[in-house]
Amino acid sequence: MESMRAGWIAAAVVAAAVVATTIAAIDSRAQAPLGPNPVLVELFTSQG
Amino acid sequence: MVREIARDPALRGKVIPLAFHVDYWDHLGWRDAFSSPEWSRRQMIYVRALALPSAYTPQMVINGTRQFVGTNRRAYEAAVADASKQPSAGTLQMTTKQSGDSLEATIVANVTEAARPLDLWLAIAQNGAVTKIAAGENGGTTIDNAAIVRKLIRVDVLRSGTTKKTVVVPIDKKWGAVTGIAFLQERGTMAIRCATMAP
Repeated sequence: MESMRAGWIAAAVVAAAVVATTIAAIDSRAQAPLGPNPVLVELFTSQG
Repeated sequence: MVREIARDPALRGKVIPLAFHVDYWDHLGWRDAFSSPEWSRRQMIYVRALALPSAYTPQMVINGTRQFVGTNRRAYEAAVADASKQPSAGTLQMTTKQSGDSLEATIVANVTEAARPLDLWLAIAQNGAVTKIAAGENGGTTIDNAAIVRKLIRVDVLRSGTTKKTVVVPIDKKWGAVTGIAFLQERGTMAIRCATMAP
């Protein structure tokens, strides 16, 4: 019974890792490549 | 995020950051040494052009036409990817020479498509400075600043054709290495239609 429980836990950990890897891969693909023209990024900020 | 952009060699020349330190928070216990009323006025021009209720910090403006909170990485990535695919008004080439207390910039602008007059701007940005904040909202922290705008000069107003301009800008030796950023900005809409940097 103990070994069965350990097996289920191991399987759940592996499944979670697969899901996390897949999400990371999708997220990475979501970053669209840049086109040919330079882009100006202005940040209005303050240290105070 | 500006620091990351400025120091990522893969983005150099493709995504050009400029940090304008506004002065309207300077009364809250800490005066930002890089702040200027000129940069606050520039932000107010965007507030009007983009029909925003008010100015805020940190605010990021992409090519003069899209804005969002300056920590929103997803909005930044989407806006930059989109802006980089928009047609430019022509081409800009620039060379710079920094010596002692001046920067000489030579800009060649070739405008091929412009529905409105284009302001040719030259910004001078200090590449980096570390500030220990002694008071105010961020008191006790150390900020590693990048792409700090020190000067912004309207070089010319262009409509079409090729123009070559050489500008000598006084700079402070304490700023260390600086970068010149030239860009064409459409009057009225504030859209940035072309940009380049050197070195």
